[in-house]
Amino acid sequence: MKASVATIGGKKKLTKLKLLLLISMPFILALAALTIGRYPVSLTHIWAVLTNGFLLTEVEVPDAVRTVILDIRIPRIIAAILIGMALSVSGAAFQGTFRNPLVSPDILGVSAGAGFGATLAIINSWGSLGIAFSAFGFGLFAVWLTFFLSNKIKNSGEITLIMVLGGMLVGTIFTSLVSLIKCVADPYEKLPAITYWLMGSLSSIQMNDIYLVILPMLIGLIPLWLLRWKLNLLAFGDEEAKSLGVNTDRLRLVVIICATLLTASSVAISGMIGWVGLVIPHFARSITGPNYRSLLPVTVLVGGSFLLVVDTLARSLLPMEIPLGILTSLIGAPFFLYLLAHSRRGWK
Amino acid sequence: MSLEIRNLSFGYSSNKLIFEGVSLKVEKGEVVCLLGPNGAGKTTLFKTILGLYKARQGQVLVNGKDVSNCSRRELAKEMGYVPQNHMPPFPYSVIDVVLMGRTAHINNYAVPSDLDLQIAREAMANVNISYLEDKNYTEISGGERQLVLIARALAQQPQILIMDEPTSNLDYGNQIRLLSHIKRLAKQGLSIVMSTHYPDHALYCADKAIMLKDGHIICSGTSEEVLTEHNLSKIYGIDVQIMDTVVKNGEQKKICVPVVA
Repeated sequence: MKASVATIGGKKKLTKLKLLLLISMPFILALAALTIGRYPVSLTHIWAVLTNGFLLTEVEVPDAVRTVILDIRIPRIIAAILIGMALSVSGAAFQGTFRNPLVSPDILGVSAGAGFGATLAIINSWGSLGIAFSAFGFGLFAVWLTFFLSNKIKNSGEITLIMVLGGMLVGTIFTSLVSLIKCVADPYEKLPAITYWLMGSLSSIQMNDIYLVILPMLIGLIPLWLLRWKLNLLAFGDEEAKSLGVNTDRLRLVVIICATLLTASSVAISGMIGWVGLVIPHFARSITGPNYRSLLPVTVLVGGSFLLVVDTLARSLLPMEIPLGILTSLIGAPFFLYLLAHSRRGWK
Repeated sequence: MSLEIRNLSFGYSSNKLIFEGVSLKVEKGEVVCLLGPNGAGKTTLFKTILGLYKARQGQVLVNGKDVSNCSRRELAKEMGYVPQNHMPPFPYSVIDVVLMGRTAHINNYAVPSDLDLQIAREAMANVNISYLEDKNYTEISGGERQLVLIARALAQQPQILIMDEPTSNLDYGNQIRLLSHIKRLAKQGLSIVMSTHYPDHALYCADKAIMLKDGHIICSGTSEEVLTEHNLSKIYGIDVQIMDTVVKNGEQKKICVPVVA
């Protein structure tokens, strides 16, 4: 083991092959996902459409195929990868920040808040853009409320613990409000829309949705990526991190803002998608170990790939579309159990 | 380098102070031992010195500069902290843990460089734990974890080392080895403030000793002045005898023996 190779420090460095496989995985899966679906699309057609006929000028692509590829599948594939990445990264960041392996991205109430925002928008018929904005806004608001309340009541206790409790509180309030709205919603038109939104789906994703969230997602992702080594220190607790030279209050605030932006943007266009943010960081940790320096990049790759696979299953497994949120839970929960049983490296 | 504590007090609430009016001066290359019964306020005092708790009164001056005006990064370059043994929630490898000592020397958005790795490895070699490098921090023994935390503090390259009961988890051999390490580090110019429950440890390696009881300094001075039968009986409530012996190698030593029926 030479120093130059071992700069990551720590055991089980990723081999070049493994790394290459991880990096190429989302692309291979995306290509596969393009061909899969009720409307069969050949690789030749995909090539012709994507490269605008490069090398295959003689191939005639039917308009329907072009529409399926460009307007339906590509936006959906991009959205699945982005959302999977966003939820997984924010889950991974929160698990270290709150020093708890069972934390998921909604720990501070962002999903509950976004759910309320979307419900409010649906019942007022604000349209799909209105739903996205309202969900995004209330998601941020819920986390701000949690943050504000826990800073108000913090005494000598550990602030992270108070924040988790505050998040539960705020989450409960917004979930109850959603139930209240469902109770009074028009049962033929609004209620199914609300229920369907809450189950999470990418079936109506368009390129415009992606343009809408790509900026907040990048604003959330880039700082976390740059700070990824520092995230390790939060896992050792406030006092130690401080004595090692970290301004923990500021770092934690940055993490919370970034992770919240990532989750809120995801939920705004997809609805509630559970378990990804909890399971994927553990899976990634079983590959790289807990050091965020390599954990975070692998989480990005695995998270994006995972949600793409699940979403492709959701739209192709049954004649009707299965809501994505249901499928991630159905797959995620047993998968988590498997990880618990088989990886001692993950956490203990 | 100098560490000076002036009339320091801290309490979670102002009417109930954990310790009060503590003053202390530590010179370069000095080992200062803090003794006191459980609950005397030793750990709290350390955390206040490190600026983790905000002092109610008084000042902590590092090189004449008040720590409450220093950034965490500035402070970390001056003072290293070896906390009592604990477990992080994730199984970091030992080298990862030691590398965290480099935090204050690494830019905000950077990752440790090869130089940092080299310094971390030297710190581990300094306390003879190079063989632990690739082990999981959560899977080694308590004593080994203690040494890893010391290596981490050394990787931080501070001028002052604050150690909270560094010998508490070690076996007999490792306790003595650690104390020799501490003596050697002090010779290298590091100032060390440590707490211990063993009078013998203070007699063995401390230049100065301080006794803390119920948040007040009972006495301070050279370790031989402080570690007397009278003082030890007073703070621990048991009868002890300090004996002069000559060890095999001809060295004069004082040892502390409890007198029990």
